[in-house]
Amino acid sequence: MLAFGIIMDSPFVFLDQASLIYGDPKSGTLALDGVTLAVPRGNLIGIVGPSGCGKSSLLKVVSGLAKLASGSVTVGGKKVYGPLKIVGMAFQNPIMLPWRTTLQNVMLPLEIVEPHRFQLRREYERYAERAKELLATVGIAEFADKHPWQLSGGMQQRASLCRALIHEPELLLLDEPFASLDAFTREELWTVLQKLWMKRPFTVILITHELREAVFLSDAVHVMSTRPGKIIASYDVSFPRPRLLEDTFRTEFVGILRDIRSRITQERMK
Amino acid sequence: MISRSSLERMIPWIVIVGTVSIWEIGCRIIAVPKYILPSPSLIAISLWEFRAAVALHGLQTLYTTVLGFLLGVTAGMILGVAVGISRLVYSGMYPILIGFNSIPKVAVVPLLVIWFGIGTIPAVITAFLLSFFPILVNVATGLATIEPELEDVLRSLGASKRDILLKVGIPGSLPHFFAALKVSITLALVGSVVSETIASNFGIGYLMVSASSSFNTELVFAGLIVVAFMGIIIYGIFAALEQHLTGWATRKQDYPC
Repeated sequence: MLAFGIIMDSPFVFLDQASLIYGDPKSGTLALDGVTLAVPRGNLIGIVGPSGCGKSSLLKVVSGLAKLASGSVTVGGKKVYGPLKIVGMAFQNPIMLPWRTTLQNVMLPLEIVEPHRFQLRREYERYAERAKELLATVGIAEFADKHPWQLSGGMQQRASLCRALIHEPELLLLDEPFASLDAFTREELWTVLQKLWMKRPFTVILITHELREAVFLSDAVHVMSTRPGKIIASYDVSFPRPRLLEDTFRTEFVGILRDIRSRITQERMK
Repeated sequence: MISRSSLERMIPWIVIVGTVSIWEIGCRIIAVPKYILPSPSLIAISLWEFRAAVALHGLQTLYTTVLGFLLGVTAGMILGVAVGISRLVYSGMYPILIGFNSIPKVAVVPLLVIWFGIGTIPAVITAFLLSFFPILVNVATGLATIEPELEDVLRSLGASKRDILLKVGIPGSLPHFFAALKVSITLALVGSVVSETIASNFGIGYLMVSASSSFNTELVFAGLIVVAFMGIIIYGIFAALEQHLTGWATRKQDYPC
């Protein structure tokens, strides 16, 4: 009976002593060193750490794009052996396809993910409607028919978020998605992401080096060490949602921020 | 005062007319013998006088050029895709391809004559040999420069290699492909004419050789001008096609608001 309970409560994403080596297994670079991390279904967690600590490698491992040297990754109760087929991803660089309009860019995953790819032609209107709704949620509905180069960096990043979500993935992996934006646009997009996530709670792993961003958005923040990366500290963030930008100036919020910051500073001094 | 944009439209014609005028005036002042450098007016007269022959030989050259070019594009595209998506094919093929491309194609023509006789076939093959390499290199480069992050995005959606090729690789390499087409079509023309000069009794190349052997220098120049004219026209066709299909790659900056 106990075993049953554990399965029921098992995390959606679970890394067990996951190690990753780039290059030759013996002489290559050890990027991840026995990372253990559990992400409950529907949680939004943040991963922070000094630059070059293997944060992006962690995402590659979770999405199955990189093969582990040892340990295991489980997503949705299944061990990950190859690229997962249900993941949405967004990066610092929005990487839109320049020959497609924003709407066509956002709808790209629908041309690939099953079963949508077989229904897309027949039910194009319905899908396009869904994409437009999503664009409206992030506030760029009127740019649907524009090409990416006609959009500002912030708008492209919004479109990139829509593309990551259009096929309603259960897992969203974000690799410093707001890093190249100006401070105001960035903060606005935090609230946009929170809104999208509260509408339909999917599991999110957010990689960032911006601590306020991590604490504002996350249910839990995990700190990674310098290379080889491992999780050295975890902080629960249990502020009620929706969180407001003003909350980031409250004492409790600043307190967590200070704790995390000093932990990272300590790590960098090593 | 004429506007900048209308100046930009007119400038090619101004340059052409200017060059021809200087040439004409120079020939008359220095009184160069016409068998050394005929003046443009003499070339024009010769072109008109031999218009039937020039048209006939011109069409032959056009035919071998276009045929060789189409074969070159097909082969270049297939090999380019293979080299661009497979590291193994890339490593295996590149040395031999580069070695092959370094061979002067003029030197191959006598060999082609031994195999196929003189005439159309060596011209087509020479045009093909010259035109396929730029296509191959550019298509391969276009495919190899897909953003790795974009590939990650697609792979994490369950995209196959074929999906990535069709959705991103091929559309993304179109600008490279068209750049290569423009280089290749002129090279194909060079190939055809070179082959005709050496081993044919048909085509502009042959016309020029036979004109030169009878010191009909005007006709040699007439042949050159026909070749140049064909080159410009075909180039123009592909440039227009490129603008139409890959305008997104050469767009002007156009900011919102």
